[in-house]
Amino acid sequence: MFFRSTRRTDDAFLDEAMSYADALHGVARRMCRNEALAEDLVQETLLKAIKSREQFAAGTNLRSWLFRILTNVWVSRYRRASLERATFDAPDVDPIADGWVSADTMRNLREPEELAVASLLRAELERALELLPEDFRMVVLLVDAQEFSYEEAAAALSVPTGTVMSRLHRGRKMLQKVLVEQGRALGLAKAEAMADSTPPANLEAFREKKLRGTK
Amino acid sequence: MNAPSQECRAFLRVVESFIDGELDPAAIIEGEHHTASCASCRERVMLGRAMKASVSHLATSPMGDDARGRLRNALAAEIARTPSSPKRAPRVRMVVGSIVAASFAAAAAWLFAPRIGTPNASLAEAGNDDVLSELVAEHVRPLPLDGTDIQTVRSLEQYVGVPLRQHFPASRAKLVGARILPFQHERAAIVQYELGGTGPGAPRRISVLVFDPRRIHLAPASDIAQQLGRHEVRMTRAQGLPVAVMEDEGIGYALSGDVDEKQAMELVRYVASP
Repeated sequence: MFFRSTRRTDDAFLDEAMSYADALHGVARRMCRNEALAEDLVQETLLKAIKSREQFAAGTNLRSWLFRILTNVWVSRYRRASLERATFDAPDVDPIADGWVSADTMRNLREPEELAVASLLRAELERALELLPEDFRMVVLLVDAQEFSYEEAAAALSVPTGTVMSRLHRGRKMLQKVLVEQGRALGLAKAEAMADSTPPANLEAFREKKLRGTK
Repeated sequence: MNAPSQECRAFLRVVESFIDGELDPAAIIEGEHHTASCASCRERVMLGRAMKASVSHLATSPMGDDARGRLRNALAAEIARTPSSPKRAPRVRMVVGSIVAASFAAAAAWLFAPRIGTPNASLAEAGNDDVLSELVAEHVRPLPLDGTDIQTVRSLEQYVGVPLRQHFPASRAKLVGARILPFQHERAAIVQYELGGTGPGAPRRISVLVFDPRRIHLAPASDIAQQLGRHEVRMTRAQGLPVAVMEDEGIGYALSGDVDEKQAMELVRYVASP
Protein backbone atom coordinates (compact mmCIF):
# COMPACT_ATOMS: atom_id res chain seq x y z
CA MET A 1 0.00 0.00 0.00
CA PHE A 2 1.20 3.47 -0.74
CA PHE A 3 -0.92 4.92 2.03
CA ARG A 4 -0.84 4.22 5.68
CA SER A 5 -4.08 2.76 6.92
CA THR A 6 -6.43 5.16 8.57
CA ARG A 7 -9.48 4.28 10.61
CA ARG A 8 -12.31 2.86 8.61
CA THR A 9 -15.21 5.10 7.94
CA ASP A 10 -18.69 4.29 9.10
CA ASP A 11 -19.82 3.78 5.52
CA ALA A 12 -16.98 1.42 4.77
CA PHE A 13 -17.75 -0.46 7.95
CA LEU A 14 -21.41 -0.70 6.97
CA ASP A 15 -20.49 -2.03 3.52
CA GLU A 16 -18.08 -4.59 4.91
CA ALA A 17 -20.51 -5.72 7.59
CA MET A 18 -23.26 -6.05 4.99
CA SER A 19 -20.98 -8.23 2.88
CA TYR A 20 -21.28 -10.88 5.63
CA ALA A 21 -25.08 -10.65 5.84
CA ASP A 22 -25.64 -13.72 3.68
CA ALA A 23 -23.13 -15.82 5.61
CA LEU A 24 -24.69 -14.76 8.91
CA HIS A 25 -28.12 -15.42 7.51
CA GLY A 26 -27.12 -18.91 6.31
CA VAL A 27 -26.08 -19.89 9.82
CA ALA A 28 -28.97 -18.04 11.48
CA ARG A 29 -31.47 -19.76 9.20
CA ARG A 30 -30.17 -23.18 10.22
CA MET A 31 -30.06 -22.26 13.88
CA CYS A 32 -33.52 -20.67 14.06
CA ARG A 33 -35.27 -22.94 11.52
CA ASN A 34 -37.47 -19.96 10.83
CA GLU A 35 -36.92 -17.23 8.27
CA ALA A 36 -38.38 -14.35 10.28
CA LEU A 37 -36.37 -15.26 13.37
CA ALA A 38 -33.23 -15.67 11.28
CA GLU A 39 -33.65 -12.20 9.80
CA ASP A 40 -34.19 -10.77 13.28
CA LEU A 41 -31.07 -12.53 14.53
CA VAL A 42 -28.96 -11.15 11.67
CA GLN A 43 -30.36 -7.67 12.15
CA GLU A 44 -29.74 -7.71 15.87
CA THR A 45 -26.23 -9.02 15.30
CA LEU A 46 -25.33 -6.32 12.81
CA LEU A 47 -26.96 -3.58 14.86
CA LYS A 48 -24.86 -4.61 17.83
CA ALA A 49 -21.80 -4.57 15.60
CA ILE A 50 -22.63 -1.08 14.34
CA LYS A 51 -23.17 0.17 17.87
CA SER A 52 -19.85 -1.27 18.97
CA ARG A 53 -17.94 -0.50 15.80
CA GLU A 54 -15.45 1.73 17.52
CA GLN A 55 -14.36 -1.23 19.62
CA PHE A 56 -13.53 -3.21 16.51
CA ALA A 57 -9.86 -3.09 15.68
CA ALA A 58 -9.44 -2.33 12.01
CA GLY A 59 -7.38 -4.94 10.22
CA THR A 60 -8.56 -7.76 12.45
CA ASN A 61 -11.02 -10.44 11.44
CA LEU A 62 -14.44 -8.81 11.06
CA ARG A 63 -16.07 -12.09 10.08
CA SER A 64 -15.02 -13.79 13.31
CA TRP A 65 -16.12 -10.77 15.30
CA LEU A 66 -19.57 -10.74 13.66
CA PHE A 67 -20.08 -14.46 14.23
CA ARG A 68 -19.05 -14.03 17.82
CA ILE A 69 -21.74 -11.38 18.24
CA LEU A 70 -24.24 -13.61 16.44
CA THR A 71 -23.42 -16.47 18.77
CA ASN A 72 -23.82 -14.27 21.85
CA VAL A 73 -27.12 -12.87 20.63
CA TRP A 74 -28.27 -16.36 19.77
CA VAL A 75 -27.38 -17.73 23.17
CA SER A 76 -28.89 -14.87 25.11
CA ARG A 77 -32.03 -14.28 23.11
CA TYR A 78 -33.00 -17.01 20.75
CA ARG A 79 -31.81 -20.35 22.00
CA ARG A 80 -34.37 -22.54 23.63
CA ALA A 81 -33.69 -22.89 27.31
CA SER A 82 -33.48 -26.63 27.38
CA LEU A 83 -31.49 -29.06 29.44
CA GLU A 84 -30.44 -31.30 26.63
CA ARG A 85 -28.39 -28.67 24.84
CA ALA A 86 -25.86 -28.72 27.64
CA THR A 87 -25.90 -32.36 28.56
CA PHE A 88 -27.02 -34.27 25.52
CA ASP A 89 -24.80 -37.21 24.91
CA ALA A 90 -23.97 -38.08 21.34
CA PRO A 91 -23.63 -41.70 20.23
CA ASP A 92 -20.34 -43.26 21.16
CA VAL A 93 -20.32 -45.52 18.16
CA ASP A 94 -18.80 -44.05 15.05
CA PRO A 95 -20.44 -46.06 12.29
CA ILE A 96 -17.69 -45.37 9.81
CA ALA A 97 -14.58 -45.00 11.91
CA ASP A 98 -15.41 -48.13 13.85
CA GLY A 99 -15.14 -50.11 10.69
CA TRP A 100 -18.56 -51.51 10.11
CA VAL A 101 -19.24 -49.63 6.88
CA SER A 102 -17.42 -50.75 3.76
CA ALA A 103 -15.70 -48.52 1.24
CA ASP A 104 -18.40 -49.48 -1.28
CA THR A 105 -21.10 -48.27 1.06
CA MET A 106 -19.31 -45.00 1.65
CA ARG A 107 -18.91 -44.56 -2.11
CA ASN A 108 -22.61 -45.22 -2.61
CA LEU A 109 -23.51 -42.72 0.06
CA ARG A 110 -21.24 -40.12 -1.48
CA GLU A 111 -22.19 -40.69 -5.08
CA PRO A 112 -25.53 -42.47 -5.37
CA GLU A 113 -26.22 -43.46 -8.94
CA GLU A 114 -29.82 -42.34 -8.92
CA LEU A 115 -30.69 -38.68 -8.68
CA ALA A 116 -33.77 -39.39 -6.60
CA VAL A 117 -31.66 -41.23 -4.05
CA ALA A 118 -29.21 -38.35 -3.87
CA SER A 119 -32.11 -36.04 -3.22
CA LEU A 120 -33.42 -38.29 -0.42
CA LEU A 121 -30.00 -38.38 1.19
CA ARG A 122 -29.72 -34.60 1.03
CA ALA A 123 -33.15 -34.23 2.62
CA GLU A 124 -32.16 -36.67 5.34
CA LEU A 125 -28.94 -34.80 6.00
CA GLU A 126 -30.90 -31.57 6.25
CA ARG A 127 -33.27 -33.13 8.75
CA ALA A 128 -30.36 -34.55 10.72
CA LEU A 129 -28.67 -31.15 10.80
CA GLU A 130 -31.81 -29.57 12.20
CA LEU A 131 -32.04 -32.25 14.86
CA LEU A 132 -28.48 -31.76 16.05
CA PRO A 133 -28.20 -30.21 19.49
CA GLU A 134 -27.67 -26.50 19.05
CA ASP A 135 -24.11 -26.36 20.36
CA PHE A 136 -23.07 -29.10 17.96
CA ARG A 137 -24.99 -27.60 15.08
CA MET A 138 -23.36 -24.21 15.53
CA VAL A 139 -19.86 -25.71 15.42
CA VAL A 140 -20.66 -27.83 12.37
CA LEU A 141 -22.10 -24.79 10.59
CA LEU A 142 -19.12 -22.59 11.40
CA VAL A 143 -16.48 -25.12 10.40
CA ASP A 144 -18.20 -26.90 7.53
CA ALA A 145 -20.32 -24.16 6.03
CA GLN A 146 -18.33 -21.04 6.88
CA GLU A 147 -14.94 -22.74 6.72
CA PHE A 148 -13.80 -21.38 10.08
CA SER A 149 -10.60 -22.84 11.45
CA TYR A 150 -10.95 -24.56 14.82
CA GLU A 151 -9.30 -21.57 16.42
CA GLU A 152 -11.65 -19.09 14.74
CA ALA A 153 -14.69 -21.16 15.72
CA ALA A 154 -13.41 -21.33 19.30
CA ALA A 155 -13.05 -17.54 19.37
CA ALA A 156 -16.51 -17.04 17.87
CA LEU A 157 -18.10 -19.37 20.41
CA SER A 158 -15.93 -18.33 23.37
CA VAL A 159 -15.01 -21.95 24.08
CA PRO A 160 -11.65 -23.77 24.08
CA THR A 161 -10.42 -25.23 20.78
CA GLY A 162 -10.72 -28.72 22.28
CA THR A 163 -14.42 -28.14 22.84
CA VAL A 164 -14.83 -27.15 19.20
CA MET A 165 -13.09 -30.35 18.09
CA SER A 166 -15.15 -32.47 20.42
CA ARG A 167 -18.48 -30.91 19.40
CA LEU A 168 -17.53 -31.10 15.76
CA HIS A 169 -16.61 -34.76 16.03
CA ARG A 170 -19.78 -35.68 17.81
CA GLY A 171 -21.99 -33.57 15.60
CA ARG A 172 -20.52 -35.13 12.49
CA LYS A 173 -20.86 -38.62 13.92
CA MET A 174 -24.55 -37.99 14.45
CA LEU A 175 -24.95 -36.77 10.88
CA GLN A 176 -23.06 -39.80 9.56
CA LYS A 177 -25.17 -42.15 11.61
CA VAL A 178 -28.38 -40.77 10.13
CA LEU A 179 -26.87 -40.90 6.67
CA VAL A 180 -25.75 -44.51 7.03
CA GLU A 181 -29.14 -45.55 8.38
CA GLN A 182 -30.90 -43.86 5.52
CA GLY A 183 -28.45 -45.48 3.13
CA ARG A 184 -29.39 -48.89 4.54
CA ALA A 185 -33.08 -48.14 4.14
CA LEU A 186 -32.44 -47.18 0.53
CA GLY A 187 -30.40 -50.29 -0.13
CA LEU A 188 -27.15 -48.37 -0.60
CA ALA A 189 -25.46 -49.91 2.39
CA LYS A 190 -24.88 -53.57 2.87
CA ALA A 191 -26.07 -55.18 6.07
CA GLU A 192 -22.57 -55.15 7.48
CA ALA A 193 -21.84 -56.46 10.93
CA MET A 194 -21.48 -53.78 13.56
CA ALA A 195 -18.28 -53.90 15.51
CA ASP A 196 -20.08 -52.52 18.48
CA SER A 197 -23.62 -53.64 19.06
CA THR A 198 -24.34 -51.02 21.70
CA PRO A 199 -27.27 -48.98 20.45
CA PRO A 200 -26.37 -45.32 20.11
CA ALA A 201 -27.83 -43.00 22.67
CA ASN A 202 -30.65 -40.82 21.55
CA LEU A 203 -32.51 -37.86 22.89
CA GLU A 204 -35.58 -39.81 23.92
CA ALA A 205 -33.49 -42.35 25.78
CA PHE A 206 -31.60 -39.57 27.47
CA ARG A 207 -34.81 -37.84 28.60
CA GLU A 208 -36.22 -41.10 29.87
CA LYS A 209 -33.02 -41.79 31.74
CA LYS A 210 -33.01 -38.32 33.30
CA LEU A 211 -36.66 -38.69 34.21
CA ARG A 212 -36.01 -42.00 35.90
CA GLY A 213 -33.03 -40.53 37.67
CA THR A 214 -35.04 -37.71 39.17
CA LYS A 215 -37.78 -39.94 40.54
CA MET B 1 -15.37 -57.10 6.07
CA ASN B 2 -11.98 -56.65 7.69
CA ALA B 3 -11.50 -54.61 10.81
CA PRO B 4 -9.43 -51.47 10.34
CA SER B 5 -5.68 -52.00 10.60
CA GLN B 6 -3.58 -50.30 13.22
CA GLU B 7 -2.43 -47.79 10.64
CA CYS B 8 -6.04 -47.08 9.71
CA ARG B 9 -6.99 -46.59 13.34
CA ALA B 10 -4.11 -44.12 13.77
CA PHE B 11 -5.27 -42.22 10.70
CA LEU B 12 -8.91 -42.27 11.77
CA ARG B 13 -7.94 -40.54 15.00
CA VAL B 14 -6.91 -37.48 13.00
CA VAL B 15 -9.09 -37.88 9.94
CA GLU B 16 -11.33 -34.94 10.77
CA SER B 17 -8.41 -32.60 11.30
CA PHE B 18 -7.02 -33.96 8.02
CA ILE B 19 -10.28 -33.17 6.21
CA ASP B 20 -10.45 -29.71 7.83
CA GLY B 21 -6.86 -28.88 6.90
CA GLU B 22 -5.86 -28.46 10.53
CA LEU B 23 -2.88 -30.81 10.54
CA ASP B 24 0.70 -29.73 10.18
CA PRO B 25 2.31 -30.30 6.78
CA ALA B 26 4.18 -33.45 7.83
CA ALA B 27 1.00 -35.08 9.12
CA ILE B 28 -0.86 -34.08 5.97
CA ILE B 29 1.77 -35.78 3.83
CA GLU B 30 1.57 -38.85 6.02
CA GLY B 31 -2.24 -38.85 5.70
CA GLU B 32 -2.05 -38.47 1.94
CA HIS B 33 0.39 -41.33 1.78
CA HIS B 34 -1.94 -43.55 3.79
CA THR B 35 -5.10 -42.67 1.83
CA ALA B 36 -3.27 -43.34 -1.43
CA SER B 37 -2.87 -46.96 -0.42
CA CYS B 38 -6.01 -47.55 1.66
CA ALA B 39 -9.32 -47.52 -0.20
CA SER B 40 -11.40 -47.52 2.96
CA CYS B 41 -9.71 -44.48 4.51
CA ARG B 42 -9.71 -42.75 1.13
CA GLU B 43 -13.45 -43.22 0.90
CA ARG B 44 -13.80 -42.05 4.48
CA VAL B 45 -12.02 -38.81 3.59
CA MET B 46 -14.05 -38.34 0.42
CA LEU B 47 -17.30 -38.98 2.26
CA GLY B 48 -16.25 -36.51 4.94
CA ARG B 49 -15.49 -33.89 2.32
CA ALA B 50 -18.77 -34.60 0.53
CA MET B 51 -20.65 -34.16 3.80
CA LYS B 52 -18.87 -30.88 4.47
CA ALA B 53 -19.87 -29.68 1.01
CA SER B 54 -23.46 -30.78 1.60
CA VAL B 55 -23.65 -28.95 4.92
CA SER B 56 -22.14 -25.90 3.28
CA HIS B 57 -24.76 -26.11 0.55
CA LEU B 58 -27.54 -26.46 3.12
CA ALA B 59 -26.32 -23.40 4.99
CA THR B 60 -26.15 -21.24 1.89
CA SER B 61 -29.15 -19.05 2.31
CA PRO B 62 -28.84 -15.56 0.84
CA MET B 63 -31.12 -12.93 2.28
CA GLY B 64 -33.94 -11.77 0.09
CA ASP B 65 -33.62 -8.35 -1.53
CA ASP B 66 -36.39 -6.89 0.62
CA ALA B 67 -34.85 -8.17 3.83
CA ARG B 68 -31.44 -6.95 2.76
CA GLY B 69 -32.85 -3.50 1.97
CA ARG B 70 -34.59 -3.31 5.34
CA LEU B 71 -31.43 -4.42 7.08
CA ARG B 72 -29.25 -1.84 5.35
CA ASN B 73 -31.75 0.91 6.14
CA ALA B 74 -31.82 -0.08 9.79
CA LEU B 75 -28.03 -0.12 9.99
CA ALA B 76 -27.68 3.18 8.13
CA ALA B 77 -30.21 4.74 10.50
CA GLU B 78 -28.19 3.50 13.47
CA ILE B 79 -25.03 4.96 11.97
CA ALA B 80 -26.76 8.29 11.40
CA ARG B 81 -28.01 8.21 14.98
CA THR B 82 -24.63 7.37 16.46
CA PRO B 83 -21.85 8.65 14.20
CA SER B 84 -18.35 7.62 15.16
CA SER B 85 -16.62 10.08 17.41
CA PRO B 86 -14.33 12.20 15.27
CA LYS B 87 -10.69 11.30 15.52
CA ARG B 88 -7.92 12.96 13.70
CA ALA B 89 -6.33 10.63 11.19
CA PRO B 90 -2.72 10.00 12.07
CA ARG B 91 -0.41 12.39 10.35
CA VAL B 92 1.59 10.55 7.79
CA ARG B 93 5.07 11.18 6.64
CA MET B 94 5.83 11.58 2.99
CA VAL B 95 8.62 9.47 1.56
CA VAL B 96 10.59 10.81 -1.29
CA GLY B 97 10.66 8.86 -4.51
CA SER B 98 14.24 8.35 -5.52
CA ILE B 99 13.59 9.17 -9.12
CA VAL B 100 12.28 12.56 -8.29
CA ALA B 101 14.54 15.54 -8.27
CA ALA B 102 12.60 17.20 -5.50
CA SER B 103 14.68 18.11 -2.51
CA PHE B 104 14.44 16.17 0.73
CA ALA B 105 13.09 19.20 2.52
CA ALA B 106 10.31 19.62 0.01
CA ALA B 107 9.52 15.94 0.08
CA ALA B 108 9.27 15.88 3.84
CA ALA B 109 6.69 18.62 3.86
CA TRP B 110 3.04 18.12 3.32
CA LEU B 111 1.87 18.99 -0.12
CA PHE B 112 -1.52 20.23 0.74
CA ALA B 113 -1.48 21.02 4.40
CA PRO B 114 0.08 24.49 4.11
CA ARG B 115 -2.39 25.50 1.46
CA ILE B 116 -5.60 24.22 2.85
CA GLY B 117 -5.22 25.22 6.44
CA THR B 118 -6.38 23.16 9.35
CA PRO B 119 -8.77 20.43 8.38
CA ASN B 120 -12.02 20.35 10.29
CA ALA B 121 -13.02 17.36 12.36
CA SER B 122 -15.18 15.71 9.76
CA LEU B 123 -12.58 15.57 7.06
CA ALA B 124 -10.45 13.40 9.23
CA GLU B 125 -13.14 10.77 8.90
CA ALA B 126 -12.24 10.23 5.30
CA GLY B 127 -8.76 8.79 5.24
CA ASN B 128 -6.52 8.56 2.21
CA ASP B 129 -7.11 4.87 1.77
CA ASP B 130 -10.83 5.31 1.94
CA VAL B 131 -11.02 8.19 -0.51
CA LEU B 132 -8.67 6.79 -3.12
CA SER B 133 -9.99 3.26 -2.81
CA GLU B 134 -13.46 4.64 -3.27
CA LEU B 135 -12.36 6.55 -6.35
CA VAL B 136 -10.79 3.49 -7.92
CA ALA B 137 -13.68 1.22 -6.92
CA GLU B 138 -16.09 3.69 -8.47
CA HIS B 139 -13.96 3.83 -11.60
CA VAL B 140 -13.78 0.06 -11.92
CA ARG B 141 -17.43 -0.58 -11.13
CA PRO B 142 -19.26 2.69 -11.70
CA LEU B 143 -22.66 3.16 -10.16
CA PRO B 144 -25.43 4.90 -12.12
CA LEU B 145 -24.61 8.52 -12.79
CA ASP B 146 -26.44 11.53 -11.40
CA GLY B 147 -26.02 13.45 -14.63
CA THR B 148 -24.69 12.80 -18.11
CA ASP B 149 -24.60 16.27 -19.64
CA ILE B 150 -22.50 19.23 -18.63
CA GLN B 151 -25.46 21.25 -17.32
CA THR B 152 -26.52 18.50 -14.92
CA VAL B 153 -22.92 17.89 -13.95
CA ARG B 154 -22.56 21.57 -13.05
CA SER B 155 -25.73 21.42 -11.02
CA LEU B 156 -23.95 19.01 -8.68
CA GLU B 157 -21.60 21.81 -7.55
CA GLN B 158 -24.04 22.72 -4.78
CA TYR B 159 -23.42 19.34 -3.16
CA VAL B 160 -19.66 19.38 -3.51
CA GLY B 161 -18.89 22.98 -2.68
CA VAL B 162 -16.39 23.49 -5.51
CA PRO B 163 -16.94 24.27 -9.22
CA LEU B 164 -17.45 21.40 -11.64
CA ARG B 165 -16.67 21.69 -15.32
CA GLN B 166 -15.64 19.65 -18.31
CA HIS B 167 -11.96 19.02 -17.72
CA PHE B 168 -10.86 17.82 -21.14
CA PRO B 169 -11.45 19.22 -24.62
CA ALA B 170 -14.07 17.18 -26.50
CA SER B 171 -11.38 16.10 -28.98
CA ARG B 172 -9.38 14.56 -26.15
CA ALA B 173 -12.04 12.86 -24.02
CA LYS B 174 -15.80 12.49 -24.11
CA LEU B 175 -17.78 13.40 -20.99
CA VAL B 176 -19.72 10.36 -19.78
CA GLY B 177 -21.27 11.93 -16.70
CA ALA B 178 -20.85 12.50 -13.01
CA ARG B 179 -22.18 11.44 -9.68
CA ILE B 180 -21.86 12.51 -6.09
CA LEU B 181 -19.63 10.38 -3.93
CA PRO B 182 -20.32 10.68 -0.20
CA PHE B 183 -17.43 10.31 2.25
CA GLN B 184 -18.74 10.14 5.75
CA HIS B 185 -20.16 13.65 6.25
CA GLU B 186 -18.49 15.10 3.19
CA ARG B 187 -19.14 14.81 -0.51
CA ALA B 188 -17.05 14.81 -3.63
CA ALA B 189 -17.97 14.43 -7.28
CA ILE B 190 -16.60 11.84 -9.63
CA VAL B 191 -16.60 12.90 -13.26
CA GLN B 192 -16.15 10.17 -15.82
CA TYR B 193 -14.73 10.39 -19.31
CA GLU B 194 -13.99 8.11 -22.22
CA LEU B 195 -10.81 8.52 -24.20
CA GLY B 196 -10.94 8.23 -27.97
CA GLY B 197 -9.01 5.66 -29.91
CA THR B 198 -9.43 2.12 -31.05
CA GLY B 199 -7.77 -1.17 -30.34
CA PRO B 200 -7.81 -3.55 -27.41
CA GLY B 201 -9.36 -2.13 -24.28
CA ALA B 202 -10.94 0.81 -26.13
CA PRO B 203 -12.61 2.94 -25.08
CA ARG B 204 -10.41 3.57 -22.09
CA ARG B 205 -12.05 5.38 -19.24
CA ILE B 206 -10.86 8.16 -16.94
CA SER B 207 -12.38 9.17 -13.63
CA VAL B 208 -11.67 12.50 -11.99
CA LEU B 209 -12.52 13.00 -8.35
CA VAL B 210 -13.27 16.66 -7.63
CA PHE B 211 -13.34 17.69 -3.99
CA ASP B 212 -12.99 20.54 -1.57
CA PRO B 213 -9.49 20.07 -0.12
CA ARG B 214 -10.45 22.03 2.98
CA ARG B 215 -12.90 19.29 3.84
CA ILE B 216 -11.40 16.15 2.33
CA HIS B 217 -7.76 15.84 3.10
CA LEU B 218 -5.60 13.69 0.86
CA ALA B 219 -2.10 13.35 2.23
CA PRO B 220 -0.34 10.39 0.67
CA ALA B 221 2.27 8.75 2.84
CA SER B 222 4.46 7.64 0.00
CA ASP B 223 4.37 8.86 -3.55
CA ILE B 224 6.20 10.48 -6.37
CA ALA B 225 5.88 14.25 -6.62
CA GLN B 226 6.32 15.94 -9.97
CA GLN B 227 6.20 19.56 -10.90
CA LEU B 228 3.69 20.29 -13.62
CA GLY B 229 3.96 23.99 -14.47
CA ARG B 230 2.94 25.80 -11.31
CA HIS B 231 1.35 22.69 -9.88
CA GLU B 232 2.82 19.86 -7.94
CA VAL B 233 1.26 16.53 -8.85
CA ARG B 234 1.60 13.56 -6.58
CA MET B 235 1.42 10.21 -8.28
CA THR B 236 0.50 7.13 -6.34
CA ARG B 237 -1.44 3.89 -6.85
CA ALA B 238 -4.61 2.52 -5.35
CA GLN B 239 -5.76 -1.04 -5.96
CA GLY B 240 -3.38 -1.37 -8.89
CA LEU B 241 -4.36 1.79 -10.72
CA PRO B 242 -2.35 5.02 -10.91
CA VAL B 243 -3.81 8.02 -9.17
CA ALA B 244 -2.59 11.55 -9.80
CA VAL B 245 -3.48 13.97 -7.01
CA MET B 246 -3.21 17.74 -7.29
CA GLU B 247 -4.74 20.93 -6.07
CA ASP B 248 -5.52 23.88 -8.25
CA GLU B 249 -6.99 27.17 -7.08
CA GLY B 250 -8.60 25.68 -4.03
CA ILE B 251 -10.03 22.63 -5.79
CA GLY B 252 -8.73 19.14 -5.16
CA TYR B 253 -8.44 16.62 -7.99
CA ALA B 254 -7.56 12.94 -8.08
CA LEU B 255 -7.39 11.35 -11.51
CA SER B 256 -7.38 7.64 -12.14
CA GLY B 257 -8.27 5.41 -15.04
CA ASP B 258 -7.31 2.79 -17.56
CA VAL B 259 -3.93 4.38 -18.18
CA ASP B 260 -0.38 4.15 -16.93
CA GLU B 261 1.40 6.72 -14.75
CA LYS B 262 2.84 8.61 -17.70
CA GLN B 263 -0.53 8.93 -19.40
CA ALA B 264 -2.17 9.92 -16.11
CA MET B 265 0.43 12.68 -15.75
CA GLU B 266 -0.26 13.87 -19.31
CA LEU B 267 -3.99 13.88 -18.68
CA VAL B 268 -3.86 15.65 -15.37
CA ARG B 269 -2.36 18.74 -17.02
CA TYR B 270 -5.74 19.31 -18.67
CA VAL B 271 -7.45 19.24 -15.30
CA ALA B 272 -5.58 22.27 -14.03
CA SER B 273 -7.26 25.54 -14.91
CA PRO B 274 -5.99 27.07 -18.16
